[in-house]
Amino acid sequence: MQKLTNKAVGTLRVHDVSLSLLKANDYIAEMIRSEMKDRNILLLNLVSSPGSGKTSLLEETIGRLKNQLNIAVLEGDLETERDAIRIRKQGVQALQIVTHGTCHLEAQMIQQAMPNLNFEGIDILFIENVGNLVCPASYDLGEDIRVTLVSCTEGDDKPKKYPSMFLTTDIMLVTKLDLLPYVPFSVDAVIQDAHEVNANIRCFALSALKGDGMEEWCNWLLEKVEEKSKASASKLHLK
Amino acid sequence: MHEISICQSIVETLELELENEQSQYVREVHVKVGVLSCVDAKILSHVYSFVTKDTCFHKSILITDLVEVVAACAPCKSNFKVENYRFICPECDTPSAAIIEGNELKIHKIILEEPSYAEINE
Repeated sequence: MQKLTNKAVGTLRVHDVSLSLLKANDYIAEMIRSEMKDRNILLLNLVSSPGSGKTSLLEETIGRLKNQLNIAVLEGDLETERDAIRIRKQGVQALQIVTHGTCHLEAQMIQQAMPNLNFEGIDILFIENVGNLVCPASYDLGEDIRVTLVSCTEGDDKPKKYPSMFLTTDIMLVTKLDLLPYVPFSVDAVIQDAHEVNANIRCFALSALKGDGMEEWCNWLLEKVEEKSKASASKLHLK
Repeated sequence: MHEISICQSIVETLELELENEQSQYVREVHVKVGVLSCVDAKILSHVYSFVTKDTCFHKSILITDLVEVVAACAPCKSNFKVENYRFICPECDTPSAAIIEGNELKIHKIILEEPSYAEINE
């Protein structure tokens, strides 16, 4: 056999690299963020365990704000269009993303869904993520604000058990406040636990069913929409 | 939980990084896995062997290096190791979410074997 190279058999070559495995997702997320900025739309990513009340919160929020704001919703679920149907009953645009088993939404799914929404005049786009406190934490969807819901029935020890999610969260909503008298749950304890993981989390406590705390949450949303439009207006002025 | 999609992303990243003829000589892929990345390192290596089975990377193995969480404390101007997800400086009790490392999910080393004569003459 003829010798083809001078190198000994089994010589190893080492490539030192730094290749992020979520680079593709983060790149698309930035594209979404910049498009939402151009369109002056506030983008919120709602995450929580299954059954924490994401859809109920959206129904109640839309009911209270639809005369003042134009709202659109992207719903993520493994199967069925049930959530989108519930939201459409409130008279706003809602599109269902069916992930067929994928445990989280990725930026690419949002990008694919976007051309199917009419963004004319929209102020807020809510993304309701798949109910899961683990995987959605790693996937930036281009949102301005990440909102994590913790319902009273889940227990006040959740933030430390799912730290990645709470580290990337801006707002924590304690939901189902009307059930508080019936469960061993402390709002102060959950807030303290969340602040030990991430001191910057802002907290609200509310009941979408009975309406407690909804006004404070809705007013905060109105403020954020105004902030975003002011920021883009001043930018236009500078141009 | 999403180890399969992460492994697919590893394969796609390798395909982009390496030239075609190099791919079959990859022997080891080293990945830094931060504790906060929500990925189980052992499962990742195991899943990698299935995902690469019918690809040109089937002769390679995945080696994971776990990265502990380190955060920066602004008042102390130093870094501290975060234990039990308590993001509070042990020296001065100031909360800090400034993560220095522990979020990583990236390939940091690819080891290729120079082709042996037998392989070249195949």
